[in-house]
Amino acid sequence: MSDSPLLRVSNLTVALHLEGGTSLPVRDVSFDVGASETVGLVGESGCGKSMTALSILRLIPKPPAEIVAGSVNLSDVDLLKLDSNGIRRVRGNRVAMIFQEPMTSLNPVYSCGEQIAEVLRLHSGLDRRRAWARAVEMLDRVQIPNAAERAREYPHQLSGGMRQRVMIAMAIACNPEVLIADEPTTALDVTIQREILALLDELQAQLGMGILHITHDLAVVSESAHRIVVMYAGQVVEEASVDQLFSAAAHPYSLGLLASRPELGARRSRLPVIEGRVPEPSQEVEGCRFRERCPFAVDRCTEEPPLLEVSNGHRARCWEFERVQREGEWPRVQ
Amino acid sequence: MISFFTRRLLHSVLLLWGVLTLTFGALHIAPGDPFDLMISPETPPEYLEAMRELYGLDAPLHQQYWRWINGVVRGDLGLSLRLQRPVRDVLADALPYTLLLSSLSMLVHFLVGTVLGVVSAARRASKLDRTATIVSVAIYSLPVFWFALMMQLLFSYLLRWFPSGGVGDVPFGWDNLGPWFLSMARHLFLPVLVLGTAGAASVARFMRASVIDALHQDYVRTAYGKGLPERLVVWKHVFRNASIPLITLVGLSFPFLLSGSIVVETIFSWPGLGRVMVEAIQARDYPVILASTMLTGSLVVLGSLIADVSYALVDPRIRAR
Ligand SMILES: Nc1ncnc2c1ncn2[C@@H]1O[C@H](COP(=O)(O)OP(=O)(O)O)[C@@H](O)[C@H]1O
Ligand SMILES: [Mg+2]
Repeated sequence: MSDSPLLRVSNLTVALHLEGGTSLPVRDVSFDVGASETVGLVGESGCGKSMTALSILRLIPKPPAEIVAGSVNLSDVDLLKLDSNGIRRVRGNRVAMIFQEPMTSLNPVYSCGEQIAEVLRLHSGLDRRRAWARAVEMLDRVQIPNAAERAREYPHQLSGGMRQRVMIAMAIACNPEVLIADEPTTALDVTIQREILALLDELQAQLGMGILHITHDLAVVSESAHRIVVMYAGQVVEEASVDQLFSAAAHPYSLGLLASRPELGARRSRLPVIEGRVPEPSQEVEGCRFRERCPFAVDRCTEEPPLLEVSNGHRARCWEFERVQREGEWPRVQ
Repeated sequence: MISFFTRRLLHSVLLLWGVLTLTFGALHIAPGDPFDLMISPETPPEYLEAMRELYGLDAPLHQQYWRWINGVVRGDLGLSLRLQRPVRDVLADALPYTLLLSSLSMLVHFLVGTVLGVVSAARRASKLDRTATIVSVAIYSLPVFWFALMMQLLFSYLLRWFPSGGVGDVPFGWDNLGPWFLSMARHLFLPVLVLGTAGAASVARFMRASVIDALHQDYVRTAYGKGLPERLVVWKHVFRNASIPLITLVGLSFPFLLSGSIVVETIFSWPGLGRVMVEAIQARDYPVILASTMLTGSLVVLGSLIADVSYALVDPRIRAR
């Protein structure tokens, strides 16, 4: 962890109150995002990545979800302790968010320009005309051709990739310190996916913002992320720099993800997969939550492992991490 | 946009023509004619024949139809058989009263209904939401005539707060605007209350469902993510989307309002189109029935035309087509 991280999520725990009872989709999650740093938050769907991301800006649907423990520090302020006006001044301004569904995340009845200008009027206090002019500038910035005309168009007139660019323009309009991108390219096809990833890298280089990039696909963040946080069933199971993770993954689940990773853009072959599925948040597992799917499991795994220090800046939640690193590959079982 | 408009206008004219032709047919298929109601057994048949000839009722049906359509196109709606006055004057006297009653009711209807629906949805399962639900379902399920009679019973016979009907006898004039307005307001209160709340209840139910649906859309999360306050998220982002289906309801509420005003005008002796229609039907006053059908038909068609145009104004996805 860096000395003074921009965003520090500590011991975040989210409860989900459903009819069947209360469960914990996010359990004691901690990680940092530094300025100009991209952190990849990776895990299968259902691992609690979106819940984690939404909790940072307190956007989780409440009810049924509720943040029950932890803190989210932006510089020195705990976002979880702010009153409703305080958190509103952070949202879209100091911390901005983009989502997986570019088709539905924009409001269909307002023009793209208006939706960007709105956030500028709100946080930067610009009047209508100047906010509009700046919105057009932002569209230009995210490399949308004919920005002035596009600004007057409505979301349904744009392609998925263009819409995601509009979302990005909206997110960076107020020059945020942190950008949270929840599966920003999952709904897009491969060429567009690459373009959006390149755009995010470029904007980061220009603006110096920290990026939390959430994805279920390790390949997506392998090039742009500096560090990777792997989540499994609501917990962080491994945290490492990209190099450490790709060369010496210490958690069996990370190995599984690495093995399941198709080339960016390759057809998804279902070849090396981890058998079984992520346990529901409500499912209590004795000991390690990955134990039942783990080919490395030993008797000790019925006791829950803490995040163990593997090397400097590299931690894994596995008793057997040394053996995992030695073998270094997900066993190919028939 | 322009061609969309002209196309809709053409449809409307055709629709109106169809309605009128059907009404004309229905009137003449029914046995008997207006004079059956005006005569006694002693009336000489020759006199009847003469009257029928005078009013053109002896001619073959297609000729009567043709004559009537011709008149309509030239703006001549004929003579009321019952009142012996030009139909145009009869309608011109009644129309302002109906427009006043229905536009005020419509205002109550949509203003109250929309605000109640949106607030209920935003504060779902609160005490206010539950109360609003019970009250609006109750009102919605009451027949208008019964509701009207009960209000009349309560407010004018028991409490004596409002007159039981009519328009009052204060004449309109620039020098007694105040008294006239007051008298008008007192006489309008009950009819507007009945007609307005009956509709408001259904608008509130509809709006509530529509807003709840819109609240679950992804763009709502985006709006909160921008830092917008709940007030703006609900009234700007959600409301505009949720009101798109409401526009159809506005268009559809014209017939409801007009048919409702037939009942309400009769109960509260309000001298509008509804009452003219009821009296004309009782007397089989053909020209008045046809002309008032045409007028209410036009209002209904105009309503859906306005709805279609507003649709296009609110929803860019339709505008583009
Ligand atoms: N609104 C909700 N109601 C009920 N369960 C939910 C809701 N949102 C998320 N969950 C559950 O919480 C868990 C974590 O979900 P999520 O954070 O969306 O996972 P991810 O983003 O990693 O795919 C999942 O098991 C999911 O079923
Ligand atoms: Mg997700």
